Amino acid sequence: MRNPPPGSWLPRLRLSLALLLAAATLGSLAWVATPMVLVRPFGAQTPGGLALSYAMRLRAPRLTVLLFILGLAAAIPLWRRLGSWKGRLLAGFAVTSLAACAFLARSNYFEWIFRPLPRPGFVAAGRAQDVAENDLVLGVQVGAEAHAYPVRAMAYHHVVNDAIAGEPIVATY
Amino acid sequence: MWKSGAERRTLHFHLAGINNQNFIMRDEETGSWWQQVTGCAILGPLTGRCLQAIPWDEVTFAVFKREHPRGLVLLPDAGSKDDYAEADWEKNVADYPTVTPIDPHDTLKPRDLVVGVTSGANATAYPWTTLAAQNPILDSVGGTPVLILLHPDGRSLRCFDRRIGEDTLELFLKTGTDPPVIVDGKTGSEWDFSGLASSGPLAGRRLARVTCLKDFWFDWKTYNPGTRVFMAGLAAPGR
Repeated sequence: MRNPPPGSWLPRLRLSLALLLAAATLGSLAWVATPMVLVRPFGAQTPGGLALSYAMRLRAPRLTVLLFILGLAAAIPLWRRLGSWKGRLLAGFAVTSLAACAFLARSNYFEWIFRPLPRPGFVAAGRAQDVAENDLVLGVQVGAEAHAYPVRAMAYHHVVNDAIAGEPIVATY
Repeated sequence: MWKSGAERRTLHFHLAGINNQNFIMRDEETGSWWQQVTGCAILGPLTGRCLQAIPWDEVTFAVFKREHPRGLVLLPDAGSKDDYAEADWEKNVADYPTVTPIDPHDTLKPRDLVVGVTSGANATAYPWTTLAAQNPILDSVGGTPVLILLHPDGRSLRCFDRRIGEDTLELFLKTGTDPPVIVDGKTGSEWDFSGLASSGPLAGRRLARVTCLKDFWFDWKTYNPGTRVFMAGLAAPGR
């Protein structure tokens, strides 16, 4: 297999499989990276760029899995036809990248940087230990109930889903 | 700060991105993207819908506790607490870069703090330094006479509609009072920081809150491109 006779169909099949794997990998990486780059902190965003990012993120979970399956389908027969470890290393890297893309497409990486607060806990104002008198809070009153959201915590979480007096609210900062 | 009910269901929001340094949230239920500062969906099935705002304000914990002794305070998340902002975080943020275009005619720098008030299609930005020097500010935004009031703690902020019935009040801060006492020139009634008249002919009456936002100039201007900037000593005439 290492030195196929001239005119054999084997190298051509190997090349096709390798190209297919490379195309799937590059396509998946580009699909996942584009919205990451367009919607990055300290970058300028345009309405068109946001719309493109939204459309790509929406389709990314399904597309990246399809590309992963396609890449895997190419990588398995390719693996047997690859003689060199260098080639196998590259193929392995491509499949790992495809899996990573499928994982990223299903993740909210913004919540890796700023972890969410799915079950916010509260303490009576008089017993609060973690807020200084001079710290700023966002104060909200609904009916007879009032909640305070310390700004230092809100500047980290940014979003807290909550309910005050039975009214569902979202506190944002 | 928004009611999270929309279309007869409760939406649950997640941080999902950033748009020129104002964050985007995504709701679990429809996957729509919402702009934090406006509360309106910008992409996805609910595009164009806006969440209903609920009144809120930014005050010191001391002020909150005084006004709501039985209020509840959000507990820090044990796993994230170490990543929370430092007590002096505002100083650091002032040095962060901005990405929106800078108008050479602007007298304000992008990260100057302003207090923003809107009324209908009208918007006014009150530079924080002007407010601190002139506190309180009496002005009019889109025909609504407003009072922009900074607490003597220098941090707690509130804005009010100055009308009581048919009357528009001229309000002054009684010097050296903490908690602050506001006096109206017409009746001599005294008002507290929550907008309630505690003594005088108008005792028991309450000034309506006006939502105001402490914001960076660049962000306020992005979402209120037609905003006027309040100049010290040049108040719009009260009615």
